[in-house]
Amino acid sequence: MRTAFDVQPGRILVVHPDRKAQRALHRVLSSTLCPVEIVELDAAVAVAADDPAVPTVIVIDQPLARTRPELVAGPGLAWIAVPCDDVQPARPEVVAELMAAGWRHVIGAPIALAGAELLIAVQKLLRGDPFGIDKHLGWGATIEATTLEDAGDRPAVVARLVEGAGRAGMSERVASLASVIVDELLANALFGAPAGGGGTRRDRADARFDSRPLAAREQVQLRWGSDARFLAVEVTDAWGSLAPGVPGPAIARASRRAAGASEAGMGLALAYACCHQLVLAIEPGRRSQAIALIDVGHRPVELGRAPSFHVFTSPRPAVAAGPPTAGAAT
Amino acid sequence: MTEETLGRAVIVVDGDATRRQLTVRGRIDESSRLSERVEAWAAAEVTIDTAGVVFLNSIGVREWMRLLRGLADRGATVYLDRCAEPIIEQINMILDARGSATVRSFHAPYQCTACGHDAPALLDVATHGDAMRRMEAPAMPCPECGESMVLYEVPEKYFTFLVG
Repeated sequence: MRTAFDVQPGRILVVHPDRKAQRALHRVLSSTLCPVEIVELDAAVAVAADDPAVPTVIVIDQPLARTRPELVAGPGLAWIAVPCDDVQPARPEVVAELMAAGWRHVIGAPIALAGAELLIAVQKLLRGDPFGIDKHLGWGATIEATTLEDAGDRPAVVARLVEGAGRAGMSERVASLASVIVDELLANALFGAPAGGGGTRRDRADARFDSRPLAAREQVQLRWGSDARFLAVEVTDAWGSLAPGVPGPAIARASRRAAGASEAGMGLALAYACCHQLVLAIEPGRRSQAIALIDVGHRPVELGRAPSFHVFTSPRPAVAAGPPTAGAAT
Repeated sequence: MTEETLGRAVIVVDGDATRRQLTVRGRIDESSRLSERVEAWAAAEVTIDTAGVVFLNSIGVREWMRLLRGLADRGATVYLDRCAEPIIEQINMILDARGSATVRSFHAPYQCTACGHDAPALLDVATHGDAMRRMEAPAMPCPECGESMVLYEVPEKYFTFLVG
């Protein structure tokens, strides 16, 4: 008999007070074949700090995370904040608070529905491979790819997506949400990313829909696909200029429904509000990728009001050693 | 009655300086310079019907807010009728996207519990406002099978603007 499996070195710690949630998390995370331990918060910090050579992902209850925002920069590979209950979704104000504090992995759906999302996030972290919507869709889903070679192609590309979503049996509402997401993500990639990456600054409002051939590095790729669970879109630029610590707090600020909030920087917040998971992956200086998932397999009331948020960087960041310090998250 | 095309949006303008009716359809984005028409569209009372708006992005909402602000600055009382879902999404996210305007009716995503048909339902605030402020969505008849449709969104998310 010969058995082979590709298991990544790593360790997963679960810090959650709810017994049912502990069991659900243990069951899901054990699929990685990495050791999964249920521990108290102090033990998690100590274990992750004591042996930084072992990539450690800590999954923590959101109310607990809220009391220790500095843990986002704490020991271990990453801290993922999950809802406090097996069946209740995250509270939007808690999600916004954690994002404002710089948390890079905050899950919105109840644990019972977020198993696949959590597993994908952990595997992306352990494998150091955060790119691609193929990781989020079923194997049978066909993924359509389009490269924008002209800035003026954006409306046509968005229209094509809407048409495709309709053909895929998506409701008008899902297609409408997807069109807003893609428009905003493409606009960021076309007009925002080059400015941050040392390219030519383009003002989105002035550029409007003018035709402008894009140099090789300015070209943007859109991929999208759907299965019975998600409509997924992915937008990738070749700049990698997005700073990992910026989007979460910016979205949280924009989500406060403040007067005057939309004068700048609302695009990503709007994309976040229109999806159920916003997943960003950044390879500094090389590429940034935004993936948005619209859940079509569950009713909105089951999923709750707060979309999930993830930011990954590649290559995998060096594991922090030692105890976290207050204020380190900012 | 006149019809104006602003980028990808078409606006039908009716009425006079006392009472103006704007019916907007299409896409509101960076090509829709709505704010440049404030002077021409100002009136004591302005009603804006957006049932035909299919798209509103973050740059478009800036133009939308400038339009509302400009009308309010000129003393207009603004009513929003038959708001499209993209407008409500924005109003729920940004206070200024409603400004001082009054929403009288709006579309919401509904799904039939019997046949699964998805369709926007038109909700009248005068009729259903109290229930919706309690985060209770009224049941609506399915246009395909006549059975009951339910709100296909979280009430606390979609009706935020009614209590905020």
